[in-house]
Amino acid sequence: MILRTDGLDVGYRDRVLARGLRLTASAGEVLAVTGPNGTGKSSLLRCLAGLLRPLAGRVLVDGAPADERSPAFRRTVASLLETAAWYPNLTAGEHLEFVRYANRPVATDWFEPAVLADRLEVTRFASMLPGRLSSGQRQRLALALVLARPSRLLLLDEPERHLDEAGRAAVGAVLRDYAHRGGAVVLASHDPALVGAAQARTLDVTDWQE
Amino acid sequence: MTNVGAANSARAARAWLRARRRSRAANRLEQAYLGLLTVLVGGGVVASVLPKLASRFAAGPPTVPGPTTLLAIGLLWYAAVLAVAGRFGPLAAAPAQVSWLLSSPTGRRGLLWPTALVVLGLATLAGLLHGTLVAWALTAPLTMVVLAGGVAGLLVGGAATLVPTVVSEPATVLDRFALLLGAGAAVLTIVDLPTRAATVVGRLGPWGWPQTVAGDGGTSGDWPFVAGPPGWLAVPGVAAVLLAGLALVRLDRVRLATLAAGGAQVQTLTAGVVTLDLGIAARIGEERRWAARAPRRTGLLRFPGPMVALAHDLLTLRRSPERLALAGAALLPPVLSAGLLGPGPLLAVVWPLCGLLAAGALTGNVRRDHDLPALGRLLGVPERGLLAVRSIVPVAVATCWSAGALALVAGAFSAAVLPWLLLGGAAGPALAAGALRAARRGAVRHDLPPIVTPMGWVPTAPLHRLVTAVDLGLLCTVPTLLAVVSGDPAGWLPVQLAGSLLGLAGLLALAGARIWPVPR
Repeated sequence: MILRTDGLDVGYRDRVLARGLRLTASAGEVLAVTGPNGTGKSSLLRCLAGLLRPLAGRVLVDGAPADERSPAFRRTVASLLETAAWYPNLTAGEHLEFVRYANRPVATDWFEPAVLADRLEVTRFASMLPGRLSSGQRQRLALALVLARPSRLLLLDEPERHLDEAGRAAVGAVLRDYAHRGGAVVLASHDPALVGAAQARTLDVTDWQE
Repeated sequence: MTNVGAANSARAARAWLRARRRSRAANRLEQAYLGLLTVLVGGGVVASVLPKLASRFAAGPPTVPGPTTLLAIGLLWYAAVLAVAGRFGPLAAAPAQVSWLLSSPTGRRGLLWPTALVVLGLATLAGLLHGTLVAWALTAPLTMVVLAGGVAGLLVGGAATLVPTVVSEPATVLDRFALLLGAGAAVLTIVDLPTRAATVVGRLGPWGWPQTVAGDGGTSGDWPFVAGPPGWLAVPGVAAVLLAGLALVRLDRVRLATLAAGGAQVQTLTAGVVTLDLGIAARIGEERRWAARAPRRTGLLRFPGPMVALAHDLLTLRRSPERLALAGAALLPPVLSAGLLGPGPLLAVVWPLCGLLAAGALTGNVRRDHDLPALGRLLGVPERGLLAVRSIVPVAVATCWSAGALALVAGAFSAAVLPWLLLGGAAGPALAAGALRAARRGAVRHDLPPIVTPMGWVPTAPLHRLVTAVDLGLLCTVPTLLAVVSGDPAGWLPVQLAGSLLGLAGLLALAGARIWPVPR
């Protein structure tokens, strides 16, 4: 089991969004967290990524408490939770190259950047600087980047944002592939098509509200 | 097999980025030329004013300030340093670094130490300036006193850098420390400590180290501080270096959320500087400040008709106690400058600026109404009526602030308090009028023509905006300013009352009266 939470309370100071949440994600599994706006999906993902302290309970990744300050945690967990930012002077292709370099060593059987770029259609704009990309192209690039770095747990908040239908289908297929390579995926999504394409098990966060 | 707990080299990642930097030789040459020109012009300006500054520095202030005044200045100084540090992290990272580099297993310490060194350097510089101020105030030998200030600054900088490596919300912790030091400064502004107590308080923290060193060889015969034993500065010096070193060693414990928050603040400020419009930074900062709040009690007071805007202002005031704290802190600089120099031109500059700051801290809703006229239309209240209601809280606060500030100033130079209190109260509405005008300035008007000078083109738009902030406030407080410069409030009260009423009435009369239709 890669991810486990025990009695997790998620929210902000005096406002508990989800209480006593228990979830697990094992290798090869895709878990989709669903629920209406404002019910705590993004907060839950931020807790899992070690960016937000839970109000109660704990998050264990590979049996150790989630702590994004630890290099071992950062080697295990890759996340795309908010709008990504860019180096204005690196092209899309160079961003891919840079992320691979910063996250070395990369196993030989991990996603090849060129293949990933093809599958998410990043190749078409690989030589362009981020300032000239559309919002959909930027989302494709962000997803390619987060997948290009080796990891065992992938956390995604609404990966379908700004994507066309073909893009959402491609992302679903790549997530399935990520799981087949022995990783676990937790994503928050409002798109049943994407959840279906990724063959995800669903967890409705409203089930954990008081 | 890879050691999953080991971090990748930050140096290699930085070198990778450097190698792919898109900069042409021509750009680099242009930057070098600009840098050289700046150094030459700046050096020339400094060289021309340096002798005059040096002679003034050597002369010192007209009277030697009391130990308590200098302690209060030191406390306020480092409160400001900590508050600024808290606002900007003090460690921050660019959004792209947060997204792709700091979230990778690259060593965080290696990535952050250049930023940490800048923070420590700036804090040391602030300390050196504190030491210079004390050396001037006491006409003490410069080197050791300024060095003591530098040690004090390094200690404060080291502590500020260490905080984010220990706690998850460093801004809150640093703000609380700043508030504590500010409260200490406020107490010392009102209560005059006996010499012995002042000596002890001075040795306890960085706020008093330059004075303690000055006690060794100050030329002012009546300076009562007791000097520390020879070489005592070595102890705080070693402590400051150790603290800074510990902060640098622990940089890999800083959280990504902290770095992202600091980066967002820096980005906001940069946007304000680049567009020559700090108002943009203030607006974004205010949006962010409110977005982080979670009000416990909700609901407006039930006031009839347009007075609902007053209910809104009171609710805003209740939800932003830090704004009142800022207004309270703005009381200290005029009182301390009076303690340092007595009544005179400096006080006549510091008092109105602090007054505008105090009143301006409570004009956020006026700015919002002006920026977004649709809000006023939603309330169904004409612009002038809305401004009249919105002016109640700033006028009340500015009146209390101004009366309190001048009463404390009178206390600082042992004058009769009542005349100054009344004069200050009368000047309050004028300060509020200035702050209200400042809140309604809008964005910088970049359509204004630049001034051509031998040094190049100077944009007038930021200057216009700056002047718009203070012109009305200064104009309507001329009677009080003259009283402050002369040190005699007699006879100015009715004139000041008339000036305040005229300023406020003029502002309200002109609000909503436009010469030509403005597209909205």
